[in-house]
Amino acid sequence: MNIFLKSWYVQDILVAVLVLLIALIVLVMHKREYWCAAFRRVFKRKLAQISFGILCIYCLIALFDSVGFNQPLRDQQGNVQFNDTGKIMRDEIGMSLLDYVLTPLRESKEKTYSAPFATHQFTKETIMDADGNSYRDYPALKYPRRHLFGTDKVGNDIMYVAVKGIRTGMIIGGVTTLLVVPFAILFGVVGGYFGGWLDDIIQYIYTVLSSIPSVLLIVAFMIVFEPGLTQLCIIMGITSWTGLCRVLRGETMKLREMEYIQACEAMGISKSRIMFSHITPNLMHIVLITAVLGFSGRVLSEAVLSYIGIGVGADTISWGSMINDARMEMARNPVVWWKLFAAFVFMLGLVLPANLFGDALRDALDPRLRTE
Amino acid sequence: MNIICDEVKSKMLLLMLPIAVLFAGCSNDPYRPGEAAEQTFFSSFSTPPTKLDPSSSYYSHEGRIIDQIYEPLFTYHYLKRPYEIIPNTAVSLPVPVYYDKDGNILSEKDPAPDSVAKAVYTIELKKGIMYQNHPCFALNKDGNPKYANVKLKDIKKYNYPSEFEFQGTREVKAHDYALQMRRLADPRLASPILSIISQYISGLTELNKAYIDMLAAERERRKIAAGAYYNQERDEKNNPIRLDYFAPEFKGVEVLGDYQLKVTLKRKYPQIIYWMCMHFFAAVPQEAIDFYNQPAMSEKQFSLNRCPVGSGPYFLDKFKPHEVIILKRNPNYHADFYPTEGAPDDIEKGLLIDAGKRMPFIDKQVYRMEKEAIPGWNKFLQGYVDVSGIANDVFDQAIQISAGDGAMLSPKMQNQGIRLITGIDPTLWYTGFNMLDKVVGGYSVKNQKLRQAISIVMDYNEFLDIFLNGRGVLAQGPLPPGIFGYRTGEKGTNPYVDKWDARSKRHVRQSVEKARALMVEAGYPSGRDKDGQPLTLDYDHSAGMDPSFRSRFDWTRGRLDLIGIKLNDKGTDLSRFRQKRKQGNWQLSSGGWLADYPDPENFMFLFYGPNGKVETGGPNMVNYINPEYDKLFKQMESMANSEQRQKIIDEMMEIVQRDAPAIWQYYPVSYVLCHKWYKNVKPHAMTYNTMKYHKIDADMRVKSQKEWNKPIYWPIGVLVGLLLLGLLPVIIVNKE
Amino acid sequence: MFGYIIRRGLYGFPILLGVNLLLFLLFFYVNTPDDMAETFLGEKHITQEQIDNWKQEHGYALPRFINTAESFPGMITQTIFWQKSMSLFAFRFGKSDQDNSDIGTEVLRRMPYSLCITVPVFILSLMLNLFVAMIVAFYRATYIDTWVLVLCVIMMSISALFYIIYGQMVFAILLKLVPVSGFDSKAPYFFKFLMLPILMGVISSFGGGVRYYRTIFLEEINKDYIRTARAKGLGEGLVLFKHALKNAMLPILTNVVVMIPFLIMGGLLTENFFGIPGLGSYMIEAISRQDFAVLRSMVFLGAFLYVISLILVDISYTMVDPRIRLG
Repeated sequence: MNIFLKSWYVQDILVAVLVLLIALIVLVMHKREYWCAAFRRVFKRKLAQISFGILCIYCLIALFDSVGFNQPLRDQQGNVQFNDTGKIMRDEIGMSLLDYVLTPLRESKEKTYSAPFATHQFTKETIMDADGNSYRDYPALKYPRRHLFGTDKVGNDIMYVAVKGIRTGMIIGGVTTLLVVPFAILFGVVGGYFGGWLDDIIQYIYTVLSSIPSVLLIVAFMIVFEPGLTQLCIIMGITSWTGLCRVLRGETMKLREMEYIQACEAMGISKSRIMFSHITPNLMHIVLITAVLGFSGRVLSEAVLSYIGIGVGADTISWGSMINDARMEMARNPVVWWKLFAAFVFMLGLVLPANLFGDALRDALDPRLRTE
Repeated sequence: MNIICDEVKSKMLLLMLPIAVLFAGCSNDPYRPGEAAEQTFFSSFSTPPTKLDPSSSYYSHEGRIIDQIYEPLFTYHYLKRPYEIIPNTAVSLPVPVYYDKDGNILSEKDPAPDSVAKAVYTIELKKGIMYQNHPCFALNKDGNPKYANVKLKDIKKYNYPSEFEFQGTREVKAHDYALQMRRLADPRLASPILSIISQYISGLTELNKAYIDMLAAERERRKIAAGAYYNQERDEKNNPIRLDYFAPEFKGVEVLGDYQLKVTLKRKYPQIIYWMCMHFFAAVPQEAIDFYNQPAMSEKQFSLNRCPVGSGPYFLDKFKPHEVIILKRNPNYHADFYPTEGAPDDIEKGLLIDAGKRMPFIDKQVYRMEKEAIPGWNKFLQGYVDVSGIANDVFDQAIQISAGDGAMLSPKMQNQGIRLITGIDPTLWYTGFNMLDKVVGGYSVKNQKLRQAISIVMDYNEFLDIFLNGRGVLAQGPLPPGIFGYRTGEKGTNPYVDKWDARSKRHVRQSVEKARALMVEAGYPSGRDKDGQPLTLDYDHSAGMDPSFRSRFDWTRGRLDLIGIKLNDKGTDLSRFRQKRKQGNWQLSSGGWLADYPDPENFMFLFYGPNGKVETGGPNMVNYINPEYDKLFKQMESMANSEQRQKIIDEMMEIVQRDAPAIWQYYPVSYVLCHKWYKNVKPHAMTYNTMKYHKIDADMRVKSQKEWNKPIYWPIGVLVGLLLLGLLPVIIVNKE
Repeated sequence: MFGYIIRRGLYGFPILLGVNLLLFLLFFYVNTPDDMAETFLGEKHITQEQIDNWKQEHGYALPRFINTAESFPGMITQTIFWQKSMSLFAFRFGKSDQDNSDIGTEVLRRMPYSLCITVPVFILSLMLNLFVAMIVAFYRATYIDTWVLVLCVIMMSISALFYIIYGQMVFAILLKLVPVSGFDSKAPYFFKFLMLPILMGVISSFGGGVRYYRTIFLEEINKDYIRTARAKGLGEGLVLFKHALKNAMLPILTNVVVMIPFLIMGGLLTENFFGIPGLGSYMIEAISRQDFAVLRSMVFLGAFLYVISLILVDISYTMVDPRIRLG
């Protein structure tokens, strides 16, 4: 079970489904005048435009990082190697498109810490001169003035590490939403529309889940299933599913009493058709707003969970684990601030636009809350 | 419109006022006024101790507390190196009497292990050693315990046994030691050393079985009496089972009188004396067991696990394991004097100034919980904690290694008068190759070469530089320095992996080229196997929560890449990791071994075949089996230290270095920092019972703390100013 | 009223039962008692015998749901589910897997520490946030509104971790105004230990809080009765502070009461960083030591408090709004 969850494929499939779904939604929305008008309203704001642009860049990087391939093996001379049957032999450890693009960054490794744009290493080292005398000094860097965010303890470029964290952040925000939304819509609409015992059961399930404070449920789940990205997405989905479901159920109950639905019923349109062609589209604005605003919350909680040791696990790069690594660096004097700073900048760079864009969306789509 | 404006102002003032008052007159002193001026030692702990019972406590964070409370029969000399055992509560060191299988006394002093069928130690105890004051010794006028059958309401007001109104004491007798040795077999206490020492002490295994049966019988009886709603946990909380420890026969330990004990071993095992230096063999009074074995006590969580009763220099006065632990001087402590002789340079170091004085010197020890390393380190720098280790990340701030002088403190810390005390720990770190594995295991020459090549490329000198600031010594084999059999300098070089660098006077790994050549010989030219696929190895660990792990792993991966080997991260949680080890289902994995006692046997047995993890669940994690090594081990095991023992150890080292069942990483060097007012400190790797030797100059401490911690107020003023400035727009908009 | 409380209480029972079942599946099927025993017995010499012994001593050596060896009541009561899970309903949390201490006692002992931090943070931040939110609502659609909102969003987008780490650096290490960490449970002394965690708590909840309350106020302001009040010639300030605040109490109260479980459970991060031995650090300790008994109890306790606070929400509604009657 855990091996299955941990495998790279699960994440890749989820990402692929997510991308397809987003494409589908955009296509559908593009055809409807209501949505087009709404988005025109959203994009009238400069801030929303900029936010959307930044989010797109993040998405693109995450996508690049999700497309992986196995590099061909090369021998000492740099020639591609073939096996006996004439096939190209490939490295077992995969590499993503992003890794490939960032190869100069990835390979500019130092020995240990160096400050942003430094020419010399951050720590002193015992250097032996020609006469065999050892002394302590700061050795010169192999790649001086190349590290925008400095290097970490083993000399990795922090910029590279932080960029690699984008995929993790996006998956946690995005895939979780992917897991949440279908369930929430299905249960919320079915419960709200049918009522009766079906509604009771659905209500019972989500009350049970939501009655456990989400932090505690996540902790319990993660400690049993071990840290890992997929597990984290699943449990975050389980905890955040209930809130949306409750809202959708309430909305559906309101819509059910509307004339146009009653007209549908009178015309003998099948129940499933009413639910998913006539009610669900009218709930989509709520889903969209919740998804975008929930996104940022999840990225933030990943940091906290990774910090207390039940996040994405040691083999995944994430901003949370960067902060976790950085906590001892803060006690140094002079302080090694750049790893924490990089995590801070990159996280803020994702969460702030997400929040701003979510606000803009809400103002545009939810007329009740429009302030101007 | 004006109304709101006034309201705003008044409310802001209300908010500001208390904050301003709060910050005025504040300091970062974490103690109560006057506390630092007392003869008190301040330290911190990061992991709350959970088991203070001398039978079950095993970890160092518990040892540093209870080793000061319980007194074992023997102890180590504080100053002398190599470690020397001296009598503690015993009158003298016992000389074992060996018997052959017919019951005849063997006359030789160091007989061959096979000829010994029984070894008897007769131990004489000192008279007049008293327990600490404790309510369990308090008696009524009629001589019965004061607190027998006590009701919860009578003791509800007490937070800890030291607060009880009536206290008492009594002399330590041989019976108490015998009792504690029997308690090691109590299944409820799950003593960590039971499985080891029951191989040696006669009848201990049988005693354990007898106790298990007694418990099972009692539980069955209670279950029948209670019916369907029997709940073992609750039942035993309300009505703990009182095990009559002396009911079964146990010939391993016999009481020969108030001050005489006889310990019988099944075979020759001179190392038993080291075990008897540990708290597992301290005296525990029956009164304490009966005292805690009452429902009211377990309701208050008073138990030997939380409230120890001993005869040592200190007693536990307050135990809030998640906040603070306070030890106080034991007023009944027997006459004990600071040693008058020590290692050669101890006089220069000022360690013998107090020679012959009565101990302990410090009245009180306060340990406060400190979860995160950063706050703890900062408190040390501020002078609020007397002693500190050095976390790697602050190393450069603290230590400068200068030419010629070796490690030195930074000028700033030298000005503060902080002293640096270093010592090599008798500890080994290694990365094991699973010898049962098809790829990395095996005993053919090719297999050996592969392991040697990997060992060479894993340059732990570089590792020590990056991760530990050079705080370690490159390991050459299983034996660390300070243990008999370890060879220093060129003679101790591992010829297969390392070489001696005369210039820097240390061992270094052989060149990567050598490793590449070995890879060719092993059948993996540039890391490709015969199908041309790169050799990929799995690295197993359970370090999911350790923040520093990833960078270490990256380093390992990078080093192995030099000879074309790819490394997979196989991290799991602890229980699955253990499972894998038990099944022998792994390739590479790290391990460490901390000396239980300073004897080569305690390290060499890590590679003794019959200790195999998969076979017997023993400490031989790598499942290494070499009949030649095993034969020599049997010979060396119980030998007294001698020229001949050294020779056997050398031979064993040769074998294990050639087979290379592990990458020998390093022996860590511990650095301890002490403030100038903290004196008589010498690190001791074998026992934690060292606080009684230490001394504190409280006046100096108070002065320094004041000097180093002058609060800075002006930024608060700036902050308040900025906030007021932030109100400006409100006023402007109002005007508009 | 009393009857209603009873009824709500009874309605809470199946929910807690559901929570209980969920936990049982998680902790006894996905992770078996054998796994637990191995985790706790440590590295040295584990034998099956020792595992059985451990399970016996900790009461895990029973069947999970049904004990076929016993007749009727024993069939159900002599099981792990009854003894370990159902006993939670009686608040018998049992012993910690790690050190055999009683979990119930430990929870009671630690709760005050958590409350010491969370209650002041809660009250102060509620007051501050409401106050600022009202000001912002008052100056809505001016640049004060815009800038405060932007500030809020920025503050919301920063992880609480950063606030704590930077706060400690500035106030305790650079300015030397407060101790870096620690706690002293005696009355006047604990004060200086509390200031920094409280300050950081208030700051980190500022952004989200102000934004939330601002929305509530704006919703109220757009309602008819406010328009009526304005039409009567009342000043905008009076309208806001008297009428809108009173009517906004309902959603505010919902938000406030639901916070109760979080108040008692304490802050995971704050307590860990500042070395405060409350329930939050109890959780962290349980996580790092894989103490499942403690985790189980804490999750159940959290759910229980949540159910209780929902009932409190309903009761407090009737007090604020006389139109709502509990039938």
